[in-house]
Amino acid sequence: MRLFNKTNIDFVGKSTIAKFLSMALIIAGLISLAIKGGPELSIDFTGGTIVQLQFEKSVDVSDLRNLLGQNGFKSSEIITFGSPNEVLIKTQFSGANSELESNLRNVIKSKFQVRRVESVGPKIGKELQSDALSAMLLSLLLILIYISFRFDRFYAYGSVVALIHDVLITMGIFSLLNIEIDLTIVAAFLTIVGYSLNDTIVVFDRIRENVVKHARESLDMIVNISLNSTLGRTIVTSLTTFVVIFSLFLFGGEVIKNFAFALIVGVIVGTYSSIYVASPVMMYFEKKALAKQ
Amino acid sequence: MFRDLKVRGFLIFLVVLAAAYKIYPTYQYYTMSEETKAQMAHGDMKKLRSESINLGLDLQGGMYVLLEAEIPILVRKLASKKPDELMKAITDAEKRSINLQTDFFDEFETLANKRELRLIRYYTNLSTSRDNGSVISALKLQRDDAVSSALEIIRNRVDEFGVAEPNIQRYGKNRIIVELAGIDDADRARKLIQRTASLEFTLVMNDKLQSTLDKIDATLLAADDLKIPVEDIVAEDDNEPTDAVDDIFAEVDNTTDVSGAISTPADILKESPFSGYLRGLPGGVGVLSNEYNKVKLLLEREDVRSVIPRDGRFLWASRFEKAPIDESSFIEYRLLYFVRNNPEISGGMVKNPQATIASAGTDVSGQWVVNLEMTPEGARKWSRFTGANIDKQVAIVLDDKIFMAPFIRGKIPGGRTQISGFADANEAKDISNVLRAGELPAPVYIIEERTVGPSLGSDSIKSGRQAMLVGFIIVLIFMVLYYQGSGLIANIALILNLVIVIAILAGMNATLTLPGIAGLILTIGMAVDANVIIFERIREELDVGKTVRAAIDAGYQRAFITILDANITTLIAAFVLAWIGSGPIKGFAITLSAGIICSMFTAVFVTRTVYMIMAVNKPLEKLSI
Repeated sequence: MRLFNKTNIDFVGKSTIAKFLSMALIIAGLISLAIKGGPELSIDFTGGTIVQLQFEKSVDVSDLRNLLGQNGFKSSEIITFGSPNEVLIKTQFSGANSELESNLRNVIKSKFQVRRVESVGPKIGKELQSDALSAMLLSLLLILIYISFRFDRFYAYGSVVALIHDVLITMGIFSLLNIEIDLTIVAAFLTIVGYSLNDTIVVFDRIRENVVKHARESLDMIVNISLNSTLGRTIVTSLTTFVVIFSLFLFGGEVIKNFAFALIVGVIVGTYSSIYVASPVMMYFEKKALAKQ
Repeated sequence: MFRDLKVRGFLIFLVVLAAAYKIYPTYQYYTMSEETKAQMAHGDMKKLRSESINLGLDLQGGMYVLLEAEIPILVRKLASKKPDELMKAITDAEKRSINLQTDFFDEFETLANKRELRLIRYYTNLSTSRDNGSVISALKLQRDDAVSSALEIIRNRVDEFGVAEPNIQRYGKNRIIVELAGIDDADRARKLIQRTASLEFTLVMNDKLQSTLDKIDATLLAADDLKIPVEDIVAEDDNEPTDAVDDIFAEVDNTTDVSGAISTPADILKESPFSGYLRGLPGGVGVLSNEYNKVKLLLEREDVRSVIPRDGRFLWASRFEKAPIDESSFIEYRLLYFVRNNPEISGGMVKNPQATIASAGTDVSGQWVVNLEMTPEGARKWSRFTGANIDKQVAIVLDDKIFMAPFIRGKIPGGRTQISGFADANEAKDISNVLRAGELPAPVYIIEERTVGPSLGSDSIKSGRQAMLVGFIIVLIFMVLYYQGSGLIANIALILNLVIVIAILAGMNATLTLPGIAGLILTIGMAVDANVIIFERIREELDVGKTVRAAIDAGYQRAFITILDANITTLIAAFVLAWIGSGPIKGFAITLSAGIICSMFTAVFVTRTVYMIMAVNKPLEKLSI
């Protein structure tokens, strides 16, 4: 079977449409981020406690909210989690509070099971925040060094812009959908960075090869040929990756759901950007440099 | 040499063999029934466990706690004078260190220098040099002692949970990680870990032991429920592992524990159902490890407790000991003491315990000893007590466990006390850490906790397995549909890839977490990428009219560089994650890295070998791709 045989799509010529699409997505995300005052961070970074409870039958969240509010569980957020029998209570850092569970049992009369407790002190939250940030920056830096070393600086610019594009859009979508960013999401972001580059590099590698092979053609033409000849691979790999992540999203359970979702968004955006963002940006910088000479 | 098919085949065979060898213990462990597990000798079980992949706390259920010792409180307490400017400097240094994420002591030293505080004036006894730098170094030593002491306290308490393999370790300078698998009462664990330590010195009442034992025996003989419960207890508790022991004595694994073989005969128990279990052992009276749980349960019985004299109580030694029987066997036992209920000295009265080598001129010169001092009130009580109890034992009790029970050699006036009889430096340091617990030098608080209930853990395993299976099958089917015969070859490589990754995890004795499973799943999707790149390339080469053989050669040659470049970027991100990330994230990064690295072997080397085998007899004319 062959789905993308000898395609001849004018990717470079259509890049204006892509430019607008990317811009629209990024701006929508940025507006949402601005209104909400930055990305919504989980207790991993802000400090706090979450408790996941499983009841024997479905629970009314607003009842539970009132009940806990009246009984001193200040600023608790309560949402159902996965099934209607399960709730996630988010409250202040309980740290030294060793009676968390028995306090809950005193207040809530219906039977429940504590499925999960996560408590992060404010100090640790700060540390995790800076760890996550330095992990992101460090891996970006190392990747850039690697690409500049293996290709040249124009390719490096192209891949950086594509990466920033990917992360901005993913963060924007998370903000629009009110999904919290926790430690595993950061890990997902980093994986996206790696994955998106993986795609980009396969394309770049082909451009580099074709620059030698079709030395007489224009850069636009070369990029188009390269994108078309790697299209089959790009789509197939994205598809197999997408399939496994989607399976993780569907069957992997509630705890890992947001992580899988971040990867899904990342694979889609990463595939798109390796075609429509990385190469045009690389071309832009290369042409600019040529014009100067 | 890789052109030779035999070499290639042999190499692949070796890798598969090694993988199978590494996976076997994991397979064995997880397919074994609970009964077989229970019957296995403890040492063998431990070995098997250490060779198989362990499940992370998020999969098997359990509690992860990060504790921090409050160092600023320690520094405040240690000051002999507490003027406002010093207290303010400590508070400011604490705030700065939290905000800037720097070391408290660095900030404290900077502030002290800037504000011209002469620290030696407040910490006179700590340092001999007078500059701030040396006082800070001395304070750092105090911090190290305080954290070691906290570690010792927690270790001692965790014993109470009966958790299979507790992990308690120091993390950084002033933090402690506690990991308790399969715990069901998190409230109790939190409370126990954070509880204030109670240190006491109390008299061992050997003179009242026999009469108390007689009373207990009489009570148990009269109790009509005894026969059945004791038998029950035997059946239930024989299997309970005593892990604390293993960790301490791991080095004598080549000898056999014969405690089980010399358990107390039934006819003795008929006459003395309680004291029959006790026997004279090195260090005092004790119980064999395999009978410990029975005796412990007997002591907890209501009727037994009611006949124990009011002024005394039974306390266990803090740990199990081993004693050699002959060259190849040993017994394991725990000492039991009958001690006075009212302690003579409580923790607050003990000051400045130090493990050192005794100075020359004393009869223990050259040996490790622990010196300690007492508060004036403590010294007064201590002097009276030691004077009245010469040649008796005094038990050092921390959180109701006895760490040692030295003999009182003479009256000790003035509080300055020396404890001797340690085998080595470690033993002496352990005791000085225990004694330091009495001073409550630095409170320890939970700053991070992650607890997963056992039900959520097993749910996660189930859903992770399902997600993996579904993703895996779809990818396998897709590859065959899209690349036909070559797809089949890629699938062999993919399966081999998973097997090798699991073998690597087992070989590293890695812990499988939920994100780790996610990493495996992602690996399935990404590992075929290498084959996709190669196959697409081969198709292109065929399109321009190359022969099958030339197309395959060109495909692999060109594709390999691309695969390497593309995978290295993902690897960079994964390595950074493995380096900076904590627990579960590390698990994700490790499985992903292993998967990608292996995919270069399986998807490139192995599939190429398959093509070569296919072309052995006659050159390939047609390729199913």
